[in-house]
Amino acid sequence: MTDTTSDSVGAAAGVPVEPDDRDDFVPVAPKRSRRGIWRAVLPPLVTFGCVIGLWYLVSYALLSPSRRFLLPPPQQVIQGGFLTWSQFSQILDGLALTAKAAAAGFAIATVLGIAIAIAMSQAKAIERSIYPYAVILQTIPILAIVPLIGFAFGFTFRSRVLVCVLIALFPIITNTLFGLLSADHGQHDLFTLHGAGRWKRLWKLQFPGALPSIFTGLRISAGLSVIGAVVGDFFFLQGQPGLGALINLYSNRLEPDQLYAAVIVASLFGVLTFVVVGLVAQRVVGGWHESARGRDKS
Amino acid sequence: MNAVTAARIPSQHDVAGEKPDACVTFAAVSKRFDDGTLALLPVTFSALPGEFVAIVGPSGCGKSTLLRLAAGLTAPSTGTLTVGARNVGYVFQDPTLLPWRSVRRNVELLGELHGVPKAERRAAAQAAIATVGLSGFEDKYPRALSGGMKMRASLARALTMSPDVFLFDEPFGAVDEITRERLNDELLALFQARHFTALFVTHSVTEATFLATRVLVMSERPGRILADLAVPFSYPRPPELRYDPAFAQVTGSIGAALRAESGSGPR
Repeated sequence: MTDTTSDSVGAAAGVPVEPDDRDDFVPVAPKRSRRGIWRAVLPPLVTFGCVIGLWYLVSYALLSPSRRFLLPPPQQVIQGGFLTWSQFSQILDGLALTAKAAAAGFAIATVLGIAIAIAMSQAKAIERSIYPYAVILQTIPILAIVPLIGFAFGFTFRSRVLVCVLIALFPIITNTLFGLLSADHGQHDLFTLHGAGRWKRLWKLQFPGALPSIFTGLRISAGLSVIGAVVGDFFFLQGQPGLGALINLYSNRLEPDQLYAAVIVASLFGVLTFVVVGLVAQRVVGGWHESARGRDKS
Repeated sequence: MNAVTAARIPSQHDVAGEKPDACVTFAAVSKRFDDGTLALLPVTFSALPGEFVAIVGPSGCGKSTLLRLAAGLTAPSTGTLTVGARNVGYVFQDPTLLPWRSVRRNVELLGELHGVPKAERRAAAQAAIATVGLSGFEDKYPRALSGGMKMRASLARALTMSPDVFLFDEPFGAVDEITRERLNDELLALFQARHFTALFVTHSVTEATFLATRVLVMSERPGRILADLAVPFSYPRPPELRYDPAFAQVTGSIGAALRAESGSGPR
C-alpha cells in the first residue's frame, strides 16, 4: 500500500482514537489495592480461626480424656507430628515418594489426555470410538482396579504412576476436547476463507483457544493425581512407604498426632498443586482470558 | 413507484463478460440448505468493477447467505456464480479477532495463513493498522478494545491482503450510531483510495444509501431481489449528505420497496 493511500484515508480517519472510542477503553490488569488484598485474605482467615476453635471444642469439650485420641488438640498434633523431627522427617520422606508418583502420573496424563482430545477433535469417528471408554475409565471406582493393577504390573513405582494416570486422565480429555470444539463459527469461516488446513486450524485457532479449558482440566487433575498417589500408597506397601502407607500405619498403631499431621501434609500438598497450576494458567492465558485472572475481582 | 421499477437484469453479455476484472456475477443462483430450508430464490445480478453494491433486507432474508455464496463458504444449489478477483476480503458481522493475539498479531494472521514472509506481513499489518487509525494500539489485546476499535482491527486484517473484491456482512451492525457513521465515512475514503469492488450487506437503509453506488432490496425469506436502485450521488460524499433532502428521497424509495414487500411477500 502506498503513502498516498494511507494519507488520504488518514485525513478522513482524523485522530486515531476519538473520545467515544476511548470511553469504553478498559485498562488491562488494574493493580490491586492494599485494601483489596486484605479483603481477599480476611474471610479465609476467619474461617480458619473458626475451624481451629471448633477443633479445640471437640477435643476438650466433647471428647472424654480416654477418647481424646480420636481428635487430639492442635498443639498436640503440632508437637507430636510436626515438631518431633524423627516423625516429621518420616512424613516428609513419604510425601517425597507420593509427590514423585503424583507428578509423574500427572505429567503422563497431561500429555496423553491432550493428545487423545486432539485426536478426538479431528474426527467424529475417533471421538465416538474413544469417548465411551473414557467415561467408563472415569466411572470405575479406582479402589476396585488398584489391586488388579498391582497383580498385572507388579507392586512397583510404575503401578503407582499408572493409578495416578488413570484417575487424572478423564478431566483433561473432556476439558481439552470441549475447548478445541468451542472455537467460534466466524473464526472457523475466516480460516476456511484463507485456505487453512487441519494443522494450521488446530495450532493457530483451536489449540490456543482451548488453553483456558485445558487449564481447568489440569487444575482438577492435579488434585486427583495426588489422591491417586495416596490411594496407590495404601495398596502398594512394599519398599519405602508413601504418605498413604504412613496414614495406614499410623491409624493401625493408634498414633493420632502423626496421623493428623500426615493427613494435613497430604491436603496441603493437594492445595499446593492446585495453586501452582493456577499460577501457570495465569501466566499463560491471564493476559487475554478473564476466568484465569484474579477470581476475586469484585 | 418509479424508482423501484428500475430492476436491472444483467444482459447475457454482462454475465459472460470478456474480462471479469474484479467483479461478482450471480446468474440465477439459489440456495437451499441441507435441512430443506429455501434460503435464496434464484438471484441474478452483477457487481461491476469499482461498484459499491449494498444489499438491504429484513433480517433472515438470506442476504448473509448471498455473501457466503460469493465468498465460496457455501456452494450454490443452482445457478452459476463468478467472482473475478485475485483476492477477496471478507469482513464478518463479528470482529472475529483471536483473543489471545494482540492487535498486531491479529492483523498479521492472514499473511501467516498464506505463508507471507514475516518481515513483509509485519509491514503490511503496520500499514493497515495505520490506515484504520489504530496506531498506538498494536500491542493491546482485543478485550481492551471498544466495539468500534475491534471492527477497525478486523477491517485492517482484511486490508493486509489488498483485496480487489470486498465482502461486508453487516460489519457495523453492533456498534453505536455515532461510531457507525464515522466508520462509514472512513470506509468511503478507503473505497475511493483503493478502488475495490464491494458487496455490503446491511439492514440499515441510511447506511446502504450513504455508502453504495447501487442498492439491492431483498425480500423476506426465501430471499429474492425486489429492486435494484442506483444511488445518484458522486464521491466523495460529505457526512452532511445524510441530512440532504435528496438523500431522504433515495432512502424513501428504498424504504418503500421494502414495505411494498412486507405486505404481499410470502410468509
